Parts: sequence; structure tokens; C-alpha cells
Amino acid sequence: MSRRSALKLGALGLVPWLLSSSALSQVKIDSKRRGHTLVVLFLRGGSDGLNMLVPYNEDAYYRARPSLAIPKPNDARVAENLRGVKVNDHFALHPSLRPLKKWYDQGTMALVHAVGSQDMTRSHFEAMSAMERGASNGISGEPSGWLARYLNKTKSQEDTPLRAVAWANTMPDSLRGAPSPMVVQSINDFQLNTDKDFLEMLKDQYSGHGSQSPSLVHSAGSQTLEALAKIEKLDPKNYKASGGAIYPATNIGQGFREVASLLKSDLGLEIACLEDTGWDSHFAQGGNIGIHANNLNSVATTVDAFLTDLGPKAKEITLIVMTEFGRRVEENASLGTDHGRASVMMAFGDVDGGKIHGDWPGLEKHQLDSVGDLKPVNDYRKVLTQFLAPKMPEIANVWV
Amino acid sequence: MSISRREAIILGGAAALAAASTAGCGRVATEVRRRKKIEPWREPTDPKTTRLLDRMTFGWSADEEATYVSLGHQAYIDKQLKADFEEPVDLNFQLAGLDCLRMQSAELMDIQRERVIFELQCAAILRATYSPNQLKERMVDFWSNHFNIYSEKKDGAFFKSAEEEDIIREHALGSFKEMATKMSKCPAMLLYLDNEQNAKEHPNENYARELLELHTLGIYGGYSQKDIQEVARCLTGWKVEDRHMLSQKQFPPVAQGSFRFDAKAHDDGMKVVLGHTIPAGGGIKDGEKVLEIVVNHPSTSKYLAKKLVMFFTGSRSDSLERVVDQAYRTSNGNIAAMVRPILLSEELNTGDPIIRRPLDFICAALRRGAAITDGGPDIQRYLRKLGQPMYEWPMPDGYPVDQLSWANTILPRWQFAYDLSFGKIANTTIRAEAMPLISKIVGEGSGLTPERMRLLASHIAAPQFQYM
Repeated sequence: MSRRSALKLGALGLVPWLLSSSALSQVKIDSKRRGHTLVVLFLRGGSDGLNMLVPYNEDAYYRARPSLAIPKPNDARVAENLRGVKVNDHFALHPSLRPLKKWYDQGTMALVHAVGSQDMTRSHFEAMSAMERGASNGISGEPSGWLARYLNKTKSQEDTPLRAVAWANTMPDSLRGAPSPMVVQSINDFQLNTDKDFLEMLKDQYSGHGSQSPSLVHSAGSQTLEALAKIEKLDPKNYKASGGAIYPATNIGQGFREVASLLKSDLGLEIACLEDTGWDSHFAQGGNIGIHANNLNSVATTVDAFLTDLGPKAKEITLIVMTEFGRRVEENASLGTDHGRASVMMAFGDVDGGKIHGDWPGLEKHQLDSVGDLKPVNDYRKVLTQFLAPKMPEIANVWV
Repeated sequence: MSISRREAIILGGAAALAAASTAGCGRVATEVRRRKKIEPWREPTDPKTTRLLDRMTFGWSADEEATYVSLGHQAYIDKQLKADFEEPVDLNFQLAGLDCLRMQSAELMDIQRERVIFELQCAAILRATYSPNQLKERMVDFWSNHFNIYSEKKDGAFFKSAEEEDIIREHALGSFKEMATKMSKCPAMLLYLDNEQNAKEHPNENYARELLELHTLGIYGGYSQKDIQEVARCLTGWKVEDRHMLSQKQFPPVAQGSFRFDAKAHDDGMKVVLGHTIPAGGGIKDGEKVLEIVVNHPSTSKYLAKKLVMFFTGSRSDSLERVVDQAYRTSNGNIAAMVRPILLSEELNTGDPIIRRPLDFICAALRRGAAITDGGPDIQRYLRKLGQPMYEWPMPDGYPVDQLSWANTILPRWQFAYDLSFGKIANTTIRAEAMPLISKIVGEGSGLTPERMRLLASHIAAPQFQYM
């Protein structure tokens, strides 16, 4: 008896119910995907929103930050590439964010200032905990993530193994409680370390068997085999970005390149989570040059490459860049800034771009909160709902 | 200088974590298992028996079927319902090496959280794989998820062990009423669902809500938002003792980490819960009355019947659910009495296939291959990769049971199947006798060859093995 027939007889012959049960739906291999992917980039540490989107026509900003303030767009004392990039008569982008200006002008990028949660502790842990759980503050008892709740509400037979992927060392809290999220350091972690013969056996077992309706596991298996084959070809060395896009050789640069390659391979990626660390600029933050500027440059060049690479496919994604809180209006004695509350959120893709959404509370003393922080008048949940609800209607219901 | 066992555990760290599984107790167990006579590899032949054993146990094995056949259908089921089988010496040896199972919560706090969870998870894997009281182990898994506790929240990890041992394991096939009632005063639950913050000035409804929605009446059980608020009021002051004995100013003092009723935080007014009036001034009796009301509520037995029928048969069945509901009411909430009719039902055979969750799958593979394992760090790594690190499900509803939630982690299951069969998992081995034969000719192909390993791997990786 050949190995193959031994396998078939033993394994399938005695469990006819598995293949014929009507309760198990018929799932086609090339099923329709949802056609939209959410990419979330979380800047961990608290990115200074006031220097990302500069209120350059407010004296209070320059009084509070003699060393760190970004020069006005028309400040002739400074080289042009080191001045703020004018967005409108009120605000300018940090010069390091210049690569993103063209996307803003095209309507592919939207900005919101003064975004934050209701968390008052200014603790990284509490604020991140709040945002990743979709809660108002860090002491909410809810342990599951906002993205997890969305994925649970909308799970279906069409879901592929790569529906939700996080590029991180540990599962981000936003995905905690989701059905089958993947956490990878590189998409190449999605591989099978077995042997050729075993792989052949898997292909035999998981191929569609003609007229009999396959179980959900059958189709998940087929999709997995398909994904394995595609990902094997996505060797970073071989990947050719479109439009001349060049991804920086950083963690997020590589992560975004993998996201783009997955999007182009039609593998059913619906939610991608990435993160960047090092944003906690208490010390020597720098203004138009320095640590924060370098970090912003990294994000800007990465996002620019990503959007260039995607080309027309950029309409099928929404990219959110968020951070757990912003920083104190006044610079501190170490030429850095302390923890604040409100920061900037950036949205890219098929969004209502080319404008700054939401309210601006102002920087005068009476307009700040009791500690001297910019007030988070735009609740992060409202902002996310605004950007995401058109393509992901269920997102309005995930907040706790 | 000799140090105490407890100090050794505290100082142990990562090395001890790994060594725990191969220390003396583990070695004896391994040797005993290596010498135990096992049934050689064969395919399951009778679909009905296979289905019954797959559902009652953590996976059909030739050895389990031999036990079933020797006892006979009725006697086997009865013995399983009574959890009457003698635990084998090798399993007891392994469990004896896991001190965290027997330590008090306050003592456990001196130990690394990861170490505590490691030992609990180790015990769970070993018991599910090796205990002959398989039905009990399945019910422990069921109730542990029904009364889900997320060990990563607050100090849950340190209280989980007592909760699992004293409440869940104690009553898994026994009194649901006792289990639910004890659970209401269990520190692990009070912390997880925030009831230890539930006080008159700032009530917290989290536990009250889940008590009704998930533990007893069920979401369609006919309670209102007002009921939840009233239940929360009844449970105000139900806390975990966090003061040292000296500062308690009462005698006898209550041990830290145990249940404490704080009368000052209790809302002592009159309440109305599910139509029952609870008069003012009841103190701790208010909450106790609530538990009495909910465990005796008609919706509770219906909800539990539905869940249990689904758990064992894979489908809904109005008639069977009615029988199970009735069994709850006539047996005063006895779980074995509810499960018996399900095991004897026709619906068990006709119901839909149920996807194996990672714990089910891993233990089924270990049982199928008569594997010898230490339940240690290496095999636990797979449980995490497959998506079910124990006691880490964040929401109160427990790990999902539906196919959609698990089907897409098929890749790590294939990897596990291969690694298990090819001996790549540390301290987990499959004996040659337990591997499939390549040839029908006796003696030929009976050694430990890659071909036989691959055949076993493909059997475990197969679509049908993912279901029970």
C-alpha cells in the first residue's frame, strides 16, 4: 500500500461527516477580501506634537520654547530646509516632515492636533494602556484591545491567516483578545521548518477535494500554503518597490516594506500594527535638528516610501500615526520636554486630507490645563472613528 | 549552607524553571512511562466510540479505548462521571514537583509571576494528557474558561492557583452552586473583575455584570441594567484583604490575600434584585442572597444546559437542553447529573465537528502518540505559539470555542506536528511502538525511521485531526 493511499484510507475514510456536513460552509479559496487595510504606527514614548505641527503664529509657543521652537516658515535667519514647512497661516510642519507635505497637498494626508485620551496620569503605561484598549483612561478594567474587538465583531469565513499582523516583539495590547493575530519580527517568520516530503503531504491533505465541501480548516490550510509560497518569494533582497521608493534601513522602514509587499500579494491583510520607540524626549530633544528631528525624519521617509510604493493602492489603506501623549508646552531645564497630554495624530490614505481637523484649544495660560499642558480637546476615539468609520463601520462600536 | 525548598524556588529563576521539569520527580515519571506497556499504533475503527472518547477525553487513544472496552460503555461513563479512576504514580510524581500548586497566595507573591504561571500551565498539560479522570479534566477546562480569569491583570497570577485547585478542580463535576458561590468570594475573581474596588461611594459593576451575563443567567437570561446595578450594590465591600494582620485591629485577623467583607464600604440600603426584595441592613448577607438567587434562577440552568450541550455535542438541541436543564433542577445543580444525559445522547453522535483548541490539540497529539512529556517550557512554547497560553485570555468569556477563531493558526499546528514527531521538542518523546507502521509485514519498518515520524506528523497535521 503506498504511503499516500494509506494516509487517505486511514485519515479520511472513517470520518465522512467532516467532509459532508452542511453546517461547515463551503469556502472558496479565492474569496473576496474586504478591500481595505488599516495600518497603525504607534510612536511609543510620547511624541512632541507641538513641534510636529507648529503653531508658528502664536507668541506663546516661542516664549515657552526658547531653545526648542521650530523657526517660522519665513524666518530668513535660518536655512530654508530647517524652517517649518507652511501648512496654513497658523501651522507649519516640522522640517523633518517635509517629505510628507506633498501627500498633504494631494489630499492623501490629514492632520489633527490636540489629540489625546482622558488619562491624567501622564504615565506612559497608563496612557498607552488607555489608547490600546480604546478606553478613556488607564484604569479602565477592560483588558482587550480596540483592534481585537473590531476583529472579533467582523470575523468571517473569508479571513486569512494574515488578517491581523503585528511587527513587534510581543503582542501589542491593541490586539489582545483578537482571533488568531500574528506577531512577527519579520514576515519571514511565517514559514515552516520541516522537510519537502512533509510539505507535499500537507499539500495533498489540504487541497480542495473536488465536489466535497471543504471544512474551514481545509480552506485555512490551503490559504496558509498559498501564503507560505508567496511569502517565500518576498525575500527583502528581492523585493522591488514601485515608483523608485526607497525604504530606510530601520525597523519601521523594513516593517513598512513588508506591509507593502503583503498588500501587493493579496494575502488578506486587514490590520497591520507597527511601532517605533525612542520618542520620550525629556533630554536634549532638539528643535529643527536633533533627536526628535531624526525620529520624525525616520517616520517621514518611511511613510513617504510606503505611499510611493503603494501608488494607486494607497486608496485601499488608512494609515494612522499616533502616540500616547504629547509633551509639556514649556521646555525643561535639560532642553527637552516633560510628559504632556495632547499630541498630533496623522492619517494617510483614503482620508479627508489636505486639512487640519478638530479643534485647537490655544496656548495661552488660561487655555492650558492646570499643569501647563495643551488640552486634548479632540478625543482620540472620536478622531479614529472619524477617519476609519467610512471603511470600517464597526469601529464606532469598539470603544469602552 | 542549606537553603529551604521554598528559598530554592525563589532564588531559582530561569534555570530552575527548566530544571523543575527534569528534576528528580520528572526523571522518575519519565522512566515509569518509558517502561509502561502501551498499545501499538492503530487507527480508530468505530466512529461512535471514537466520537465519544474524543469528546469525553482530551483525545482518543488506543489505550483509552482499551479501558473503555474492558469496562463497558455504561460503567466507563459512570466511572468518568465520578472521576473514580486512580491517578497514576508517574503523574503524581510530576505534580509533586510543582510546589506552586500547593502554596498559599501570599507565599506565591515572593515568586516570579512567570514561574507561577509556568507551573500551573505545566500541571494543566500533564493532567489533561495523563490523568485517567479525563472527563474531569475536560470539565476543569470548561469551567476555567466559563469563570475566566486573566492572570496578567493585577496580581491575578498569584491567586489563580488557589482558585483553580480549590474551586474549579474541587467542583468540576460536582455542585455548580458551590462553585459559583465560592467564586464570588474568590480573590482571583474579585481582583480580575474589579469587585475589590466596588464600594458604596463608587460602585463598580464589572463583576456584577459578568456574574449575570457570563456566569449564571446568560445574556438572554432576562435581567435588566437596573438588576446589574442592584447586584453591584449588594456586592459592595466584597474585597481582598490587603492589610497586614497587625493593622487589622480585629480578632481573629484575616490572612492577607483572602476574602474580606468591608462593612464600611458596603451599601446597606434596600435592594431589589431580579424581583426579590433584599431588605436594608443585611450586610454581607446581601451578596450571599444574590448568589442564592442567581444559581437557582431558571435562566441559569437553561444557559448552562445550552453551553454544556454545545461543548460536548457541537450543536444545539432543544430536547437535550431541556433534559439537561431538568437534571440541574432535580439534582440541585449537580454537574455530573447534567453531563450524564449528554454523554448518553444520540446528539453526541450527530452533532457537528468541534474544532480542537490549542490545548485540546496538543494534548490529543500527545495522547495519540503515547508521548512522554514533562509539560515543561518547550512544549508550553507551542501552546503560546498556537494562541492559547493558559490563563492569558483577557476577556471574561474565556478562550473562544468557534472555528473562526482558531482555523487561521493552522501553520504553528503543522510545525508542532512535525517537531513532536521528529523529537524536536525538548523532554517530549514518542516511543517507536506508538508510531504508525509503514508496512503491513510484522517486524518490517518497526524502527524509529523518518518515514514513520513523517507519517505520524502528517496524521496530527491533517485537517480531520484539528477537529474532535
